[in-house]
Amino acid sequence: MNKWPILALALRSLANRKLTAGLTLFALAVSMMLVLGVEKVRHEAKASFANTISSTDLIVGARSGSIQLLLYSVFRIGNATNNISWKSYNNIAGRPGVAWTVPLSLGDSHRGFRVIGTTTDYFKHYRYGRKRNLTFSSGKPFDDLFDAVVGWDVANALGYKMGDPMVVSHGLGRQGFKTHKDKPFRIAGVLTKTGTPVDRSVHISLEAIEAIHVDWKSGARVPGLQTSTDRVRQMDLKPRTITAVLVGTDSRFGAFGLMRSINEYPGEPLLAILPGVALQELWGLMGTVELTLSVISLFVVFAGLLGMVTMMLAGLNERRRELAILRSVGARPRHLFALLVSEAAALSIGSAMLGLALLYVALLIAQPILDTQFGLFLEITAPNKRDQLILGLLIGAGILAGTFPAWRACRQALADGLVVRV
Amino acid sequence: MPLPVFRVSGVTYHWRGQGHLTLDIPAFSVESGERLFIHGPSGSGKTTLLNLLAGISKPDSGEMDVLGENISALSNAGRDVFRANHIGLIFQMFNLVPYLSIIENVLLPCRFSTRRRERAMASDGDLYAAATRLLSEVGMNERRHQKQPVAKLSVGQQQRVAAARALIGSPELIIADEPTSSLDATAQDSFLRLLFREVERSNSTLVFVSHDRRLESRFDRVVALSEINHTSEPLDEGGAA
Repeated sequence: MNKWPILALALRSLANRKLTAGLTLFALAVSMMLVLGVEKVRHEAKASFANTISSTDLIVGARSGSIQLLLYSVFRIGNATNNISWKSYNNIAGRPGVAWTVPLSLGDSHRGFRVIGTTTDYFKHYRYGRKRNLTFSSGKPFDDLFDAVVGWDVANALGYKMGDPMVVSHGLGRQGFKTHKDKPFRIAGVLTKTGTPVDRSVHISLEAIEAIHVDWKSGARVPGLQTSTDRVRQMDLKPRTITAVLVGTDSRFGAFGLMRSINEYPGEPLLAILPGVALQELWGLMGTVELTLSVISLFVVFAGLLGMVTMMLAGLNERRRELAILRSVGARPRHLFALLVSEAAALSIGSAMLGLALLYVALLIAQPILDTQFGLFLEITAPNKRDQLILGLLIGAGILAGTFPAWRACRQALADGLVVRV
Repeated sequence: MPLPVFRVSGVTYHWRGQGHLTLDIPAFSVESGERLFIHGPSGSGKTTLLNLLAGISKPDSGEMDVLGENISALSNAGRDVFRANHIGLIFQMFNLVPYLSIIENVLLPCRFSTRRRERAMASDGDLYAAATRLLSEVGMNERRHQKQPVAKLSVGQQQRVAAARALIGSPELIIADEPTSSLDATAQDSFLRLLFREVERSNSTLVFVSHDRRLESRFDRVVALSEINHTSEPLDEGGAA
């Protein structure tokens, strides 16, 4: 005899109703996959979000909103409304307590990827995740005026290798018909993958930004002007404006005072923000979306459980004889209760397993898409404690839901007695 | 003088919501090893009596001694355990659980009763042997029968499997409720013969309820329900059962 006679009966009974039980199981599995998936994306998005920048104490830009500044300087989304003068930059860089600065000049693009004008300090001081440095998968920081360092995704998407030429477009259009094709660049380095917007950036020197704009004025090429690259190299390419500055301070506490004084800088309206605070503010904006997703996925699970309960209740009427037979051979009401609850448990556990399998299939499919389209890199890892807890709760909810039809079955069996005349 | 297998005294029962009594049995007993035939028209309280004997229902008053135990004093769970241990039941039709094999159907009482399991083990060494022996005794020994889904069996074959199941673990009391009513005359005859043989072999007592009086000549004792049931009028119990 089987060690778990009731469970064995429950499995046989479910197998006897393959189609309805199978569909119920599938519906429940999809809902469980959704909960796990939403939880995973939420968690990973938040982590990758918070990991975008670290070790930078202040971000300074022209006065606008803190979220806007964060978006264009770190996430490379949107545009700066105004620039900062080189003079102001030098003023900030020269202040006591400032350990390092990385100037950023934005506004150009290369086939849909943002081009960042900066200095080699960028590769030294930019940190992401848990204070991780940028590293080169090949090459080295730009050295020549027309050197470019591309992020991992750029190199991957466009098939760039060291030494390949590339042309920067003016403005941010993907199909920039206004190109700086007279001033081609050469790939000097490719960065390793970081899972941050750095992967989708092209880095050139501030001087190079100036160089490609020598013949341009107010966003258009000045007709007839075409300065040769050799000629450009002779020119004074000291930048006049930049877009934002990343600032590292000697001490974290110094950052507050520095922030206040930069915000009151009389020379021009500047805005200094603490990246951590701005990141939280930005994430807070997405809180509603996050909550909505979670609530929706929970409702889907609720609907799945409702489907299971409906299936079991609908089955009770046609199973009256089966239950009466079981009673006649000695099954007590608690056995029938256990039988129905075991069925719910088997369905829930089966759904959880299938849901988990579906999740991994979905992750495998979605991973490259999310990565290239949204810059969200989902790491595919074994279910962690959190996933296990969620699955446990879902299975528990399934078993709990099963007690209702189980209770009905007992009542019905008691009322029916041994002879069922259907 | 054989001991009574069950003795009913002063039992009354009425369906909830009905003012009058369905059953009123002042005294009635069945002796051990007896083959008893109870007949009565439908609506005379046969099903109610069986529910009382099997411990499904509890009488409003009176004592139901089965195998020396007053089962009307037992709790619901106690009566369930008692039934599982001591009573084998066969119904008119649809006796089998459709998703279990023939063997598994026969072994069902052993899943719920330790006593029946132990008795089956004691008589045949192991449960599977007990089930196959009983199946071969009721003429269902062929392998092709045992592999078949029970739904593919004829009604007569299903009743034989049900008989084997009622007999496994040698319960003291076999209660059969119209077990032959769905069978044709030949099948009825062979079913009765094997039932008698097996009941005798396991020293069980048989209570056989039917409205078909052509069968009664084969039994030790024949009782009309109206003889023992003293309710003033026959009732229609069909809807309530």
